[in-house]
Amino acid sequence: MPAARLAIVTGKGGVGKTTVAAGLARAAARAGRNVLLVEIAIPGRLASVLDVDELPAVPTEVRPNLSAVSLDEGLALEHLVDRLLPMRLLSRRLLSSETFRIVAAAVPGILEVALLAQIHGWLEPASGIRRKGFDLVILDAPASGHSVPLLSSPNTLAGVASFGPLGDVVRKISASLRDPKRTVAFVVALPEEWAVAEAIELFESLRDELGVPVARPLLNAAYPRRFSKTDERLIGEAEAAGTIDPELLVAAHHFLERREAVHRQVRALRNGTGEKPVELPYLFSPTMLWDDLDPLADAVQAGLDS
Amino acid sequence: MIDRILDGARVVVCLGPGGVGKTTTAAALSIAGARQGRRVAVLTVDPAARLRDALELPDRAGEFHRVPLPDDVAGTLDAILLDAKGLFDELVRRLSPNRRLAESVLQNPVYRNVAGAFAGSDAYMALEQLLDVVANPAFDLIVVDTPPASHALELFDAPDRILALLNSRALEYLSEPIRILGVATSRFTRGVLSGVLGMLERVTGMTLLRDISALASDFASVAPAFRERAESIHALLRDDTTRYVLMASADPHAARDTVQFAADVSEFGIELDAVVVNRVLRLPTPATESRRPAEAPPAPPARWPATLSRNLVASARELAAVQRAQRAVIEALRSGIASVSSGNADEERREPLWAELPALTPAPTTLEGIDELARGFASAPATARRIRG
Repeated sequence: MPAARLAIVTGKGGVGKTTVAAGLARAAARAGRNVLLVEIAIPGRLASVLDVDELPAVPTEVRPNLSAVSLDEGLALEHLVDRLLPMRLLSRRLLSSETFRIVAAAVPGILEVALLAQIHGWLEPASGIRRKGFDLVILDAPASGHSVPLLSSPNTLAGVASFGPLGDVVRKISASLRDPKRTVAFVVALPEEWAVAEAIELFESLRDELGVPVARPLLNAAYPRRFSKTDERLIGEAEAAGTIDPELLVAAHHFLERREAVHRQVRALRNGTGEKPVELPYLFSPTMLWDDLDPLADAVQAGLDS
Repeated sequence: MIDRILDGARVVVCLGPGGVGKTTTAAALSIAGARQGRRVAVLTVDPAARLRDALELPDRAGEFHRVPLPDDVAGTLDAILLDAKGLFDELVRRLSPNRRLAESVLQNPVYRNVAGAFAGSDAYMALEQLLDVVANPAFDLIVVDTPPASHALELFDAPDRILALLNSRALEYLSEPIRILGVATSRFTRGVLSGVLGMLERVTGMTLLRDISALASDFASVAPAFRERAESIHALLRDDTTRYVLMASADPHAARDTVQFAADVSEFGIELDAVVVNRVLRLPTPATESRRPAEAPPAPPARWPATLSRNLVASARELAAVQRAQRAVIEALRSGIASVSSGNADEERREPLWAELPALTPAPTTLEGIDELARGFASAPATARRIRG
């Protein structure tokens, strides 16, 4: 399991980021770590996995050792401005202005930095009710096209705000994102050519361009290896002789085909990233709730510890 | 099925949440259009490398490229890869009253950093590009592969958002940063606020306010032309000859997103013409099914290794479970989408056509593969019924 305290889960749309993030959370929570799952991408997805109506805008414990929060852009920006402007009255006024929001949106990277600052805040011990910060914050990050701008925002903003309090915040976040003791990114792919090609690209830009520590790529929804070469030969012979039930034959072909796709994409990922991917199992159960995630949690744990 | 989408259509927009195969399907629809003898343009966004190779797209975005189709295809296909930043630069150049002004916008550090934050998104740029292509008489069918968006809103909202921004006083305010605070103009207040803004700049370490203000005042003269275009886009999206195909996957986790997507589309007064469920497991129905009681598992050949027999039976059982789950998802999609796309209750409304495309392993990434998908599309059984709202 990641030693880092911020885990960022990203990948192309539709590869199962939310499920994988939840699987990681389950593995960490059952190992006794105090976990916060942060939703930023598609509101509602994570809530349906956790089987709650809606995620709260402040971290709230939803299961033992597991809190969840839906990260709100406006709120994050408010906290950032509060932190930068010592005069509360002025910051209220500023924030209530529609025009300020437009200006803020035009400041390259400010919203993203506000989100990251908020997330880093949850890792720090808070004064007040909760004494210690979370052991692990897992970010269900937006799809790759939006993840790179999110994670490069400190650099973008550093280009225009090189000094002053904002400069300090930006530098701190930027250093933390590059520190393997603090941050790790997970790139999720499916055993499909389109998903793997994008995963490799994403992996490279995170690691090489942004300097973010990246874990071994996660190949989600991988069919298990069911049949050996000998099995395959026996099945082929039975098919030729017409002695195998057609339903079994169809299933055998399907599993062999899917396994071959997994095999091909494992190779592609390894060639593309230089890292051996971790296979996460295809979950045949149609429901996908927190309590069904043990197989995924097991695979993540075993894969990352090996 | 395909004829019913393409007939009378000038623009076909492929919609859907990320990861459902929009790009590949858009390519298949385009080839199907070309097979009908039409001169087709496909606007695509960020295709996977091999699909890009298959369509022989150039590395440079923003240029049309003729796709070499098989000889028996009567029509033509040109593909263009969306280049959001480049397109916006070009629009600024084209719409600016003079070159000096255009350069002043393009050189502004804020403009350069945000790559057209005024525009907001790839979604908007795709629509801008669409407007240009529609005006091009070389094409009679345009297929649009929309950029990945978590919400349909991002796409349909784009022109309205631009209009709202241009119509609001924001630009005017921005050209005079002091008014950011939305405060009356007493000289005293202004004086205090300039001081505060000055402090703000020192605190944040930015010259940003000045850059933004310069950009806003330059942009003000380009605004009317952008406003006009945004209105044209708005009209084009609601034109009778613009068709909408919603792509969905049979994956249980994506169903909720897809229904939400359909709800958003409907909210914008846009009617879906077709829903295509992609990657549906379609297996040959075993002949034995009728011979056996429904619940009894099929028996593996005798004298096989126990592990192999066990694995075979387990595989068959799991596969059946996946298929059952997919059927359930498709049913859920049908009732979910029917309930959100209610339209105008007084008028006769049309239920969208429904079609399923098979899961292909590996997913098609060659021209032949996509062509095959296009033929599959043509023969896909479509279902729809007219109902009274």
